[in-house]
Amino acid sequence: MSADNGPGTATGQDAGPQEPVVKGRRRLSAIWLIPAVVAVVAGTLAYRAILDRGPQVVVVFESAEGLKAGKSKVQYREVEVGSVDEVKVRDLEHVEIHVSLDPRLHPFVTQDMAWWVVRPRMSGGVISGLQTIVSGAYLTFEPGSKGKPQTREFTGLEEPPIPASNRPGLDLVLHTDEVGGLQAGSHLYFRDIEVGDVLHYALAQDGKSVEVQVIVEDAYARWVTSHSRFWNAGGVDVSVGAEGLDVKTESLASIVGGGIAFDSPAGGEPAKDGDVFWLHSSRADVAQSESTHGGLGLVLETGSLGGVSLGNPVYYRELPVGAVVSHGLAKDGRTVQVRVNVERRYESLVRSNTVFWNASGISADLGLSGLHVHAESLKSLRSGGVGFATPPEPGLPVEDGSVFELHPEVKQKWLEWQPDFSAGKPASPGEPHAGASFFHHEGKTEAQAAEAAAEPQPGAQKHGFLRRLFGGHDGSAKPK
Amino acid sequence: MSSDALAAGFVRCSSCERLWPAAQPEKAARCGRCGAALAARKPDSLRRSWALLIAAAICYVPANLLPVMIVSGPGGSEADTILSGVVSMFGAGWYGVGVLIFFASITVPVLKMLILFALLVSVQRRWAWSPRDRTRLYRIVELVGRWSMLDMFVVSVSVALVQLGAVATVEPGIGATFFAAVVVLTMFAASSFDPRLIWDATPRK
Repeated sequence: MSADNGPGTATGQDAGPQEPVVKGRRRLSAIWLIPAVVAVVAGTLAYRAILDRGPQVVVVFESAEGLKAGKSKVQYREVEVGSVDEVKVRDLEHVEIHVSLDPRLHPFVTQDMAWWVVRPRMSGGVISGLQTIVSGAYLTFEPGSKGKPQTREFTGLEEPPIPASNRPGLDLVLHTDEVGGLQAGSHLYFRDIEVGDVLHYALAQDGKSVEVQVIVEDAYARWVTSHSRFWNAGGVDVSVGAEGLDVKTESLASIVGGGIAFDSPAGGEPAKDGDVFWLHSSRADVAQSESTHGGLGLVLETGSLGGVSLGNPVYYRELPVGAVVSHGLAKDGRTVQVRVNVERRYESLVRSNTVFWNASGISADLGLSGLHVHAESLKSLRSGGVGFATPPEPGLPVEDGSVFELHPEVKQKWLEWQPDFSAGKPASPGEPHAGASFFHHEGKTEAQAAEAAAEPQPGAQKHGFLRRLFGGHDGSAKPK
Repeated sequence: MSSDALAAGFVRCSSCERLWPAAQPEKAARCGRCGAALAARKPDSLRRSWALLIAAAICYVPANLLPVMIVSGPGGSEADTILSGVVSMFGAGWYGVGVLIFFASITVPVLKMLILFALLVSVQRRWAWSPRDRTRLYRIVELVGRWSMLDMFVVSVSVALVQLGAVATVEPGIGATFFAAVVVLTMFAASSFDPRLIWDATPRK
């Protein structure tokens, strides 16, 4: 009547003492294997999911721009190590980003962990995070140090931090007038080789200069000395001079990304962490500032300016030894005062009886012996300059700020003076180290980095060493 | 009394439809004509159905919690579970697709499991309630079973089609495996179930 006594039914409960029951039992164990296996698999999965749950972190930002819950990732060194689970507003000024991290990061989720968002940024003319235009912004962090107290809530940085501190290398501070295309990440070059990076820059406290933090890789740190001179090597430096067209650039990367180059004239102590240098605006400015700063400052008085302009070289035997720093009317308005700077190593050439003349342009005098055309140098012919000479019996060395008369034109006899400076105080003036300084461009540096702000000078005096070389030849030829 | 084959003392060969006397059907009887195994009812039907149904129910949990489809695009990757997929379909305004996926992936499996559960309990408890309706329910389970694979088709087609490298890639998630297991297990559970058992428990007329 019902199925239970029907021999065909196999419904467990009504299994009698017949043989099929045994069979049924065996089947039972086989079929229950399926849910058992499934349960084990699902259980393992669940267990692993719980076990694999890494640290859950909340990062607070001002804006969640570009971050999407469930979509945005946490990357460390471009490797995905977590994801953004939730983005929500905390209060009206802040948002919370809920993040789950790889469990292996657990020991690094400590108080000094720093968080920021990588998104396309344009700062200092540099675009960074370009890849995130397509991929979307992502969160990244600087791991905290192991052993510090753990925490699960962080205040995110709105700007990427300066990757300073823990990077090995020599940390230097460069002061400069203007950033001029530099940015964090710009490279530092020594002889066109990349030796370091710009970490960041900021306005100095007094607002009068910019402080650029740079790091020099350890391997190259020994090339930075107290005599090192830094200049902004960004962009292309084109100069047209008597020597022809000169295009100079450190590297293609520095054209785009800016860069700083330095050289280190012989001598000088190795630089230490935190040393301060002046960053010149260009390579030419290095030479320029050496001739306009830190040397012997003199005031020349003349009736009229007569073609002398800022940055004009000061020649001694047609060798540039300084530059015109400024000019202006004297207080009483009767004369024009031209301030010049003579490089420290040449200061002994200037004595109390030295005469200065305006070397701008061509001077011609017609005499019994014929027509004498005189120009100090091709360069002075083009842009003007100041020449000086000291009589055969040099007077006393002069002090900063001494006043001289600037003669409108040179007298032939001045050019024939051959003073003996050995009587004077500083031993060997002139060019005792012409050979050596040729390779070091300007000999020893007087323009120490921390010196006063270099005024940007027009007519930048480039390749001073070249002219010195030629000038030297001419100078030795002339007095015959 | 003679309203069903077994009661009339016959066993029908499931393969060639030949009727055999139900003498000793349990003892590995075989059809004398075609050689198929003879059984008056599907062997071990309830137990198998139960086991498979429970396995399916277990699988259903991760199938819903874990992502079935991971879409990686330029904007990062997004892992969708079945339900979040449906929600985003609705969010995108694709109501038709959303409803379809919801029906195929949520309604059908749940319905199937619930109906099977009810049928198994009713047979085991020998409820005599409306065998006709219960049989109809069973037919619905069988009929509807294949449709729950729809979501799997969506996933597998997307995975095959959308392989554009960095632009967009679709990968199946582990949830899809579980979901496929749910579908397969419930289908087996349904086919293990012998609807004749519903009638066996009912007083015949």
